[in-house]
Amino acid sequence: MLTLTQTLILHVLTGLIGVMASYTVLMNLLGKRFSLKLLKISSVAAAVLYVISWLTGGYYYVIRYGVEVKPVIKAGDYPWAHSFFTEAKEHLFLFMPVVAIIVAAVVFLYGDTLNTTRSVKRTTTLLAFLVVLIGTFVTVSGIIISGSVR
Amino acid sequence: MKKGKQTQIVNGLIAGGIISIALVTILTVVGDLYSPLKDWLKVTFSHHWIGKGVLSTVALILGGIGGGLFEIDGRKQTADKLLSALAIVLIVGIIALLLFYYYEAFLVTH
Repeated sequence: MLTLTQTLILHVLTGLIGVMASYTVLMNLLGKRFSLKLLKISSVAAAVLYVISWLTGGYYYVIRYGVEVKPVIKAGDYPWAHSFFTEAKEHLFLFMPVVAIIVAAVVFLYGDTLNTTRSVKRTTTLLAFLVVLIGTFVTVSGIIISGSVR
Repeated sequence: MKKGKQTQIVNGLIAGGIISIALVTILTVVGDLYSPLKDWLKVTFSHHWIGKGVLSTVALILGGIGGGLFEIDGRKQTADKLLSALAIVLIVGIIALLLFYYYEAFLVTH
């Protein structure tokens, strides 16, 4: 059984690697020629890693953050670190696994015809970009929240 | 599994994703402004955030199952339209949540 600190580390690592996987999906989709195998692996990896990050982060958030960390931040010099960054982070994150699963499903179903169905490829690329954008915001928010506790 | 059935499931999944993202956005904003909704999420799921996560997952899964069970349009053009709708709902959801929490954190005095 993992300790709460190990759970937090797992949450951060799976989230970060998940964003890297989503970035790989985005870069592959942006290219005129892409590796379908890499696209399939990275899209599934992103979806699975976000689900693990969701479960581990959720466990830590409910058990420790709300009870021990949140009161410290709200009483400190940077209460907005919770009221803006934590609140926005925890809710925007909920979009990531959903969209990553859909992107993976589209890659598996239309992967071999993506170059001939331009509109599907364009919209899937936009979705992958939005996941990377949310992932970047969530990562930066995590750094700000951690810094505001000290 | 036949390609047509796979396309139906994926189309259902995308439709479920649209509902899921809209649901999280609405539950978050309305829940913060109307406390009985947030309280209901807390009482039912032990934490409002868990409630939003469970309901968003249920919407996604039901969309996929619905796509497989019922005769949802399985054409590629439908997938294209649904993906565009998903992108729009996602962009609206991101902007709405960022603006809402910016307002709550920096502009409103509780």
